[in-house]
Amino acid sequence: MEETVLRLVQHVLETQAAALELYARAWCAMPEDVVQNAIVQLTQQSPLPERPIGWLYCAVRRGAISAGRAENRRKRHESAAARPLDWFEPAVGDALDARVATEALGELALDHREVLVARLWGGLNFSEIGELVGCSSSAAHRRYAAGLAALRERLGVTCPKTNIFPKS
Amino acid sequence: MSQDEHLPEELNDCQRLLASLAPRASRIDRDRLMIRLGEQSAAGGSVPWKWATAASLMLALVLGLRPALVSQESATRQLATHSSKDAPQAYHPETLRPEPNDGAPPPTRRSIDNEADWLLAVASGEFDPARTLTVRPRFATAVLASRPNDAQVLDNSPDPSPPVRTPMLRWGDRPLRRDAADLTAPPTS
Repeated sequence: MEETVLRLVQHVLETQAAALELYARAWCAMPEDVVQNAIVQLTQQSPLPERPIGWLYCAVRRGAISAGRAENRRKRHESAAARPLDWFEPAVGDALDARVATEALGELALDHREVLVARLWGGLNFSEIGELVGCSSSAAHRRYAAGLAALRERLGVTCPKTNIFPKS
Repeated sequence: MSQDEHLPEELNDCQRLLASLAPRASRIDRDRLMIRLGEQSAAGGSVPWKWATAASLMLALVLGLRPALVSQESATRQLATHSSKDAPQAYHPETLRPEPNDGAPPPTRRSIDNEADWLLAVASGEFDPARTLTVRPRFATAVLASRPNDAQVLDNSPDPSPPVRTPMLRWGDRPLRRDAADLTAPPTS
């Protein structure tokens, strides 16, 4: 295997694996298998895609939807039982509670949720998200804003005037 | 991200708050993934070697069998081709016997069943090799001897080649050789 591909896999595992799993959780209960398959598929591409991270999100989306259908066909209650309690690491300090954030995100509409995850934790820009979900970048931005507003309402967040992440 | 700047202030703050949450650590087993990638790489890498090996074997097989195929098949085909191309003048029994003279006894067909007789016939002018089939003489006579009907046809027909040509096209010279061994007398001298 080429050195470039190995370095790319390493980079994906270090920076994107957790976000990709969170993204895949929108559709299936075993996201790590889906992400692993997507990474293997990425290494088989010749030549490598121009934007491998965006390509990975597409592959994960397809795989997660397919895996979710298979899970639904098998046993729904087992899938629900296998779902981890929290999708986020325990919060530190003034940050949102991980369990509350998990529940709020889980209740969000799917089209809003996938845009939020891809943007907030995946770091994709809106044109990439548009390609991913099959809409324009403006529509992706609108979904993102609507998802944020819905989440803010669910979480009951009253954003402090003094930001905990001051702009530099 | 110019579009991010258009977010209302409260959404902007909410966005920062959410982004502060770290997704749960990945549960991907790196060792398992690396093993799988190695397997994929090995499986993918071996394909060209397989093709190259198969091609080399085929080439070696063809080159190895070629002399044997050429020595047998092409000789048989050449025989058949010559017999069909020169069919009208392929084998004339008249050339094997002298022209009938007045008052002379009726000609009898002469059998040339060995190389010496063949050479003698050619040397004496009794037989014109340029007008005959390029078949060794004992084969031709063997055909005539083994198939009385064909011999009769040869005697009566102006074009005697088809009865001879047909078995040659069908079986090559092997059956003729067998017939020759069975039906012709061994060379005397």
